Amino acid sequence: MIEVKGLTKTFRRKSGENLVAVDNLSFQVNKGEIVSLLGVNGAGKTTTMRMLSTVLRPTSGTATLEGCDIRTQPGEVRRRLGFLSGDTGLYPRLKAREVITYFGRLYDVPDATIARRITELAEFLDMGEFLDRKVDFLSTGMKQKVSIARSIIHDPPVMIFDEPTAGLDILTAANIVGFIRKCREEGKCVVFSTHIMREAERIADRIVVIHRGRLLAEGTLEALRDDTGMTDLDDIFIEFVNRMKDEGEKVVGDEY
Amino acid sequence: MSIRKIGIIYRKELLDLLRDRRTVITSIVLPILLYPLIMIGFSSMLMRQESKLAAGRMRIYLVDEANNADSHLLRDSLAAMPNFELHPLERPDRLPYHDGRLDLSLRQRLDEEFYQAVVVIPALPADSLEGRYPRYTVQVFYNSADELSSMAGDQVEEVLLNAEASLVSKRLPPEDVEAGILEAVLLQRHTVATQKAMLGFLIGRLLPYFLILLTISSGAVISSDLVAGEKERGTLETLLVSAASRNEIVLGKFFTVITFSLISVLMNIFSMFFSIRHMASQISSQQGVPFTLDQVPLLSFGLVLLTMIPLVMFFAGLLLSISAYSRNMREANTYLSPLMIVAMMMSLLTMLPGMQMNLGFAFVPILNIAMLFKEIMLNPAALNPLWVIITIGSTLLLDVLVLALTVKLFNSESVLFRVEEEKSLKFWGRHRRNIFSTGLAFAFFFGVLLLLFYLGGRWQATNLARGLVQTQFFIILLPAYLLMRIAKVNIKQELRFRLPSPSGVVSVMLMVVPAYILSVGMMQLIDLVWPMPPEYIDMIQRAVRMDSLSLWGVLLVLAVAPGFCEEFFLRGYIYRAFRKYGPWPAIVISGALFGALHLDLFRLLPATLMGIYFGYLLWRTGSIWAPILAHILHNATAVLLDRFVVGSPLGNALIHDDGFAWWVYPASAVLLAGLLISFRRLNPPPDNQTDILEEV
Repeated sequence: MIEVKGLTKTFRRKSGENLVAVDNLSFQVNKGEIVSLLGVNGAGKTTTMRMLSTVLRPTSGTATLEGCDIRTQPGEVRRRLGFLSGDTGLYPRLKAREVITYFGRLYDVPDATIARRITELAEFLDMGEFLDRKVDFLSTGMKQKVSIARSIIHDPPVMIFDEPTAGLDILTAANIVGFIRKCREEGKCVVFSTHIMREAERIADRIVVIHRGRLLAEGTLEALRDDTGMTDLDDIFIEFVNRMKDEGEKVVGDEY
Repeated sequence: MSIRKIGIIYRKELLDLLRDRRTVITSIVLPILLYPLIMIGFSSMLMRQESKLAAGRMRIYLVDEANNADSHLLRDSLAAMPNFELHPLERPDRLPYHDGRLDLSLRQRLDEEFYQAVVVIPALPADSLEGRYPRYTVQVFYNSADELSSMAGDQVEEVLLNAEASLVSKRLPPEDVEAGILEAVLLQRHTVATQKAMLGFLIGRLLPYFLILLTISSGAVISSDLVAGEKERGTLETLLVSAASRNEIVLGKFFTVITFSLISVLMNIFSMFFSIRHMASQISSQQGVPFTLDQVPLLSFGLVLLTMIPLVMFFAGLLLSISAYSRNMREANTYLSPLMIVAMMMSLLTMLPGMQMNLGFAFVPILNIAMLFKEIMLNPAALNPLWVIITIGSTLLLDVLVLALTVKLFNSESVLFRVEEEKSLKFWGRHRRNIFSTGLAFAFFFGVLLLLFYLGGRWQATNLARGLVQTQFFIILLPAYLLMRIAKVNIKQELRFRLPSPSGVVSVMLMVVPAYILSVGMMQLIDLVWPMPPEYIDMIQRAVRMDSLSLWGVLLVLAVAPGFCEEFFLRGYIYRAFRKYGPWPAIVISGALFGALHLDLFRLLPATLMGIYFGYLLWRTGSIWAPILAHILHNATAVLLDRFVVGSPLGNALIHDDGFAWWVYPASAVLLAGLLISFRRLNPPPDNQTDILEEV
């Protein structure tokens, strides 16, 4: 379970201005639930994900993953977390099996378990034939599969996907979507960010709409539809953005 | 932190790097090939050069003033040399040689390398003509700066000595004397000097250079791949979200760089050792000179390897920090090149003739290890253990510092996720207000430094007092002031021109004298380690006195002007520019730049410490008037002490010829420490609000 409480991140630019990338964000993700973090580019999605994965430290506020605080127990948080993003981040000179084993060991998974899980995952993801090839020689789809295996090798209770389908072809993206659903079936707590409305619509149990670092709306697709009286998520999103402008609140930061 | 995790990372990085062809080539293949090639190239070139010289034609100008049977014998023996081209006197009526000196025109022709030697057989003095056996003082002139000419000198000498022998035997019929009477000892010299010198040159001078260069270049290739490369490939974030902690990642990578650099060093040393041995055996077989391996000491190579370890660690930490700071490998390589140039210069210094290890060098990083190599190779017996301890100890200390820096960089998200910001030289444009950027502050400082060097020096050379004041106002104060005015900065507020608390002022005034005394002590300490030349001390003393001015004039030139202007620039503009990194970085950087501003290596360290002290006063009082006051009073103390106390009864008790009595220093240190503690209590740092670290 993920609980985000008043999470805020302020960057200070060299020019001296402050940029509030994430502004007092709170939401919750339960076990066996998929929550989509929806927003345009630069809305603060990646910054939120990076804070949840303890790569960035929040300026204020905090979040807990499975009861572990991202500020005070970053090591414990990372141990319970699988992280996958659009750019695969694999070592090109290593073989697929070596990459997965490397990360498994970093998570203190025993070697025997790693080997067994690799066999299981290879079957599920259909990657038996390229498991012993160097990453450099793999296609994007193959790399993405290796990345998936890498992110779940330690069987974490929480999965974070940062724009996982960005730049992927339909088939590979479908693989990812299948994988995200499988994570839910296994009772994991899943949060994924996207700027593609359709994707959020298709996969998410609940949607968290953010814009300029702020929470615009939160709820199931039905609830959002009821709230706005619109059916298409694109329209719903634009409606919320307009509401925020109507409130006349000053938005800190600049265009991106 | 778990050692197992460090091991996992370390093993993975080794595997990863070994699969990279570039790494393997630079750290393993290159050294194996390089040394044999250098040796072959070196020895063949040297031999060719030598044989070319020996066979070269030499023009010998002969001035035969004596012009008799004896001198003809000498002349004929010279003419008999196949490579000599004898040029007789051009105008017999005018001798180009007077009283032991050659005419200018002839000297010039030697200089121009037209003639390789000039041989003068002077006429015999009238009184010596009476004897039966005249003695000729033959003069041989040659140009020792020219190799062919000095070889000509040697050959002429040899020919003339042989001719002398035949002249002697002509004068003494063989039945009268046995040759043994005249020549009791026959000396035959055999020299292997060129080969030996070459060997000494190679292992003593080239070794430190090559080792340091190759270590740093192989380390650079690896470390830029290890962090900047991971950023570039997008793998760094994956690694950071894994269960490995930042410290484990840094250490795993640190040991990887060390391992590869050491492999590279080992390959270098072995390859060098074997190629030298091979060359030595070749020389002995070619020339029949016994050449044993005693001249290539295995133990020294081992010792060099040991001393290499701290240096390799230093480079590893430094290179990793640079790599962590860089956004991509291209950027990393750009930042690495100045470091490589500095390391190269340091090791090149050891090649200068007459460079020998001393206490001062032992404190200079990189150079100390390079000098140590040279000493180990050429003269291990003369090695002072203290120097070795200082060299190794100071390098180990630096190792710890750079490792801490790397860990700190790895924990700084603004460094790991550094993104390109819009940069433009038109800082008047959109970011009009931001003249306090790091880049501009450095550029501005170096501009001032250049002006000081070129313009300030010239002004002070024409008129010291006026030049100093001009320097302070026009180079140090005015540009910074104008910069801020043009950018419409509220100088009063940004530079903290506000009144300090009364307690702050009192503390500053009380601390002046002990702080001054300690700075003198610091100079003496420096003098102990890097002895200052007497001319330098003399120059400093003359600068303080300035006899042509009244006391008030001296105080204005040496205390008030520098106190105000330098503090305005450094504790004002520079401090403000670095304030965003927190108070201590701003204090240390403005202090170090203050040290550099003196353009004087001897005063670099003491001035830096003083600068840090002034910066601390600024931070704690929140007012620039505090460091200005402290600076003015500090300089005034120097002037007043020199004018009034030196030579007085009080002065005689306190001041000995080159500094204060020894007990004055610890007393001042205790006093200053006490004052600083109470100052610290009375002046809490005013505003923590501005201490936000720069992010993005």
